[in-house]
Amino acid sequence: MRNLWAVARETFIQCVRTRIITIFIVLIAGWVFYVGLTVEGDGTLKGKIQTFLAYGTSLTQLFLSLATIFLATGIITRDIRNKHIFTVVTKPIARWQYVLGRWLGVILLDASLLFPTMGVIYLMAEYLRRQPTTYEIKAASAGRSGVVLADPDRLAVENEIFTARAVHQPDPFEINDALQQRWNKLVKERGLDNLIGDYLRKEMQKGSANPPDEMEIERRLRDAALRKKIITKIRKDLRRQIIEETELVRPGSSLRLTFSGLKWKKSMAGRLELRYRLHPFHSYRRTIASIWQVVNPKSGYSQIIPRTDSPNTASSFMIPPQAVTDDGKLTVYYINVPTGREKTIIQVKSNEINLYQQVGSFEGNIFRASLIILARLVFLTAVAVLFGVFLSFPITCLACLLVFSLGMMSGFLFDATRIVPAASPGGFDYFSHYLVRGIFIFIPTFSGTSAVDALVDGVNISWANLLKEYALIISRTDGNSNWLWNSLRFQVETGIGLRSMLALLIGWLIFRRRQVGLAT
Amino acid sequence: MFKERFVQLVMLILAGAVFTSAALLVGPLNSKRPLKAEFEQALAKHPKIILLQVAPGGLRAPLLTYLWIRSQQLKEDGKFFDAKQQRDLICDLMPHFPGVWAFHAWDMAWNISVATHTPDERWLWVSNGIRLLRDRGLKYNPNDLILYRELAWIFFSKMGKYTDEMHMVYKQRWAAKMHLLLGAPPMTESVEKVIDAFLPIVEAPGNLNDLLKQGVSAEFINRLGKSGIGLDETFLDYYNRFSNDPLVAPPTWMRNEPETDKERQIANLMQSEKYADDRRKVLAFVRRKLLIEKYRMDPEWMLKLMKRYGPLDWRNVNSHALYWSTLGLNRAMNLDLGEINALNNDRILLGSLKSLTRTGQLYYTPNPNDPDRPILDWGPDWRFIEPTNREYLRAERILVGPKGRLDDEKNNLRVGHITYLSNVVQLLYIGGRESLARKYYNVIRNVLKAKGEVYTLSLHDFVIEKRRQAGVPTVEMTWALFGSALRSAYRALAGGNHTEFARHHAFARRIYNTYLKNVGTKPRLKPRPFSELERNFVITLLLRPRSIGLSLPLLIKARLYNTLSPRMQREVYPYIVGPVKRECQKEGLDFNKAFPEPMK
Repeated sequence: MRNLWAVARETFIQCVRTRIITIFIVLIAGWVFYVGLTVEGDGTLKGKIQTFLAYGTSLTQLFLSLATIFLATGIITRDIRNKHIFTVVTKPIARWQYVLGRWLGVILLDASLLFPTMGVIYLMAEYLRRQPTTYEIKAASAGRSGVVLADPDRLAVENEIFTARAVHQPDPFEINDALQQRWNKLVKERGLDNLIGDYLRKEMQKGSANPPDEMEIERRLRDAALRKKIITKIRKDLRRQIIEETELVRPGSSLRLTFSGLKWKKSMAGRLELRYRLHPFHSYRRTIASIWQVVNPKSGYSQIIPRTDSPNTASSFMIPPQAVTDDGKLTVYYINVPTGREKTIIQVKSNEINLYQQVGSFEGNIFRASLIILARLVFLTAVAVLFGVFLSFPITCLACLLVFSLGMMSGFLFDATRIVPAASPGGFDYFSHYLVRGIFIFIPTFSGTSAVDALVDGVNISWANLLKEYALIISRTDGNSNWLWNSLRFQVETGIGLRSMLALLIGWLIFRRRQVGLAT
Repeated sequence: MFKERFVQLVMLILAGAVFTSAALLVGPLNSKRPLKAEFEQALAKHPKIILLQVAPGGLRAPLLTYLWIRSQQLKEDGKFFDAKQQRDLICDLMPHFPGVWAFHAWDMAWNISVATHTPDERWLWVSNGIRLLRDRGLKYNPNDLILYRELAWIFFSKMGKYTDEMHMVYKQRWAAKMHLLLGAPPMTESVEKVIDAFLPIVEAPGNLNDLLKQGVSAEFINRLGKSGIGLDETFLDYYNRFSNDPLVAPPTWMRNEPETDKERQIANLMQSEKYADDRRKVLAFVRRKLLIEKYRMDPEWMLKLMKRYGPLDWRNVNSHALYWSTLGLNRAMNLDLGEINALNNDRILLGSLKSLTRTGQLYYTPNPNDPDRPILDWGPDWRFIEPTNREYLRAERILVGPKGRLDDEKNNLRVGHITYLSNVVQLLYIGGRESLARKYYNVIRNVLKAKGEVYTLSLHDFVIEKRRQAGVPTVEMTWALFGSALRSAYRALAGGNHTEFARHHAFARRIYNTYLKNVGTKPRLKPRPFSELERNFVITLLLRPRSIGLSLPLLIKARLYNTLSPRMQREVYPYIVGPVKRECQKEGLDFNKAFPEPMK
């Protein structure tokens, strides 16, 4: 352990002495202060703070990632290039201690830079929080001083940024009865065999120009296991269809949404925010008028919220805490208001409705956000060590930058290579789809839990999220994903920490086998 | 060895040929680049833009793609905190691509604005769109027609029309800004007097030295400086608050007396007779300076527009639509006003002039509780009828050719022209301007040769029949008819004709009720109560009758006041007491007898 610590300490000191770290420190400090003092946002105080948090945190993350790549690769490859490694490996230090020590040293440096920087970002955000809003400036000039309670900008700053909010989605629609009725009707009208046969025909027709072989269909129809599987799939499709129909709200009709499991305390002060997106069937409408009603059936509390929103764009409104029942439930009605001749059906997708509720503090969240950023640095350091032990400095740098870029672009890559059945995917589409998913078995998706987005939106980074980032998560699935362990009905998500360990392990194995010198 | 040397030689020759070809292409490519000298000069003054062009190197394209995707993604997610800065950066990275400026300005003014829910946010995004085009896009692309057109369209359609449920917010905010800057035009029917009032701004010097050379006393400038007033908006702020200029000062019942010693000193500077001439010159100087530097407008072009099209009130957004659409044609295509017509102007010219006919008279009442939201009322301005008719005829003449007939089917403006003049005839007739109404009725019949039985009727019957056919008039037409009817009603009342008053008043109420029932149900188009609109009209009539096209001597005003219902007297008295009392003192009339305080 002493050896490990000695290498780590030596690495830390070596890093601190390099010129490149000074450059990055100046860059980070300059950037944070520059953004904090000059940021404009959208003209509101909320926008100003959000822009500062977005740019301050993301650029800090970027600069630290680059610094990590350059330092970690530089130190190890320099050791080998300049033959310093001879003086190390000839000492009573195991090779794993060298690899782990170098990794630990760089992480220590990262942590010693990251936490103070995040501290400065926090202080700067607090400074901005104390700036007056436009409304307060107007009120002050009109001779009304003190806190203006009705100021929407100030409320947004307090309730949407300087907080940590859990995100709840509406409870699933209760459609079991409707599903059973629809299923019974379908079986009665078509007959079970016909239903399964149609399904098989459709499946076999996919990607083929010839009509399906009826003999083969007959044969498969007799397979009991297959029949059961197909029935499950048809019922699943039916369920999706009913949900989609429920989400379509006709003019003058309403949709009931319930949220359960909300935290409720008598002293609860923070308001809740409901975010939604409305999709009109006729896109000629520039804005959509709607009415939302929030009801607490137990206390009799009710509030009507009229809204006018842009189509297909996220929008939100605030809900007072009185609307939540003692057992943590909230009921919200969406009403499609017909306006004149411009009546249209509105689709309200339940997976696009999010309820934000305060569960923690901004300070705690910023600390956890720092840990998320550190997780990425931990992985980059491990990758640098992995490549550094057998590649030269420029190649290691390039490899690390590639891994870093892929990690940052993961969301885009996943989306771009998604298989869309309606688009008749070809061979290349399947190749790129599986290639990208294959790559990301090893490389973590940096766009998963985003520290920046969480801070900007005031979304709580839970300890469970952190655990997911650092370790291994095994969760149950419905058995319909494309993953290898599909049949096991488990989904395995490897966190960044685990992948870092894997990278270090491979790095150690390579380094252990590597001949660093040849005595002649 | 020979083979290797040979390959090297061939490669060398090949490289030389490629480089030479590339060098030869530079000349023709440069000559085809649309970058004009002004554009390059404009860019050269902005090192940030130059830096952004050069610094990202080959990463500029991926960076731009990323910014475009992210900006649209954030917009869809309803996150606008960074929208302005991202769009600024995209435009800075592509400064010579006018479509990019136009797209982002449109995106902010039309799309992002409607995704927000408070008046402040709405106005913020509309004004962000305006500023992006006016302050930055046009700075780097001063000759690009698309940008002028987009800017004019924001004023004309987004702010000037009624489809946005917060259209009134835009009209109010813009009127407040322009009222602070230019004040109201003189209350007169004379176009020349309105132009004369604008002339000092056009003739004002461009810098402080020239201002001093014009004879402005250094003492006045120094005293302003000592009071913390720069030659900028602070001067206008104090001038509008404390001066006695009736075109900018708030009405007497709203005026705040100076509260501190400093304010009293400033009020003295703004009212003192000693500095009247200095103040007038400094006012024109500051207005010119702000017009050019802040609003990037050209006073000379504004004057030209007023001379050609009429007494534009710059607080009205349609005046700005007219300004930017015509200026674009002038800057981009070197067309002078004589060459600009309804056909090469995307019809903004005609649209603006028609709107000005119906809403050109702006009645502005400051709102001390919320200065950004003044109370606005509009009335028809008949001085724009003739320019609009003239522009129609000019464009139609181009369509049918010099020897063609205006009723030729090539004239696709004819139907619109007939509709416009039919509305004008109704407005004029209802407003008591029968001879003018007859003049335009004759244009419809004899020049445009309108077909249909209705055009064979007498003027009176024509108006009756048109009103019967019209059903629910458009928003602007409603208020123009409403104003015209009230004008006729109160003119009749001032002349002692109660029967005529009752007839016109009933018509105004009918117009109001029809509108309220059919159109005013929508929140964005809901009118204020009839009694409030009528009260404001009577106040304007008693205080500024010329703005309604009437001349009321003090005695007639007194007679009118005394024939008002007791309720109306109680409502208008607080507003008129100050200014009318001063008028009475000036003319030696006993105010208390002429305008007795109404019974409570």
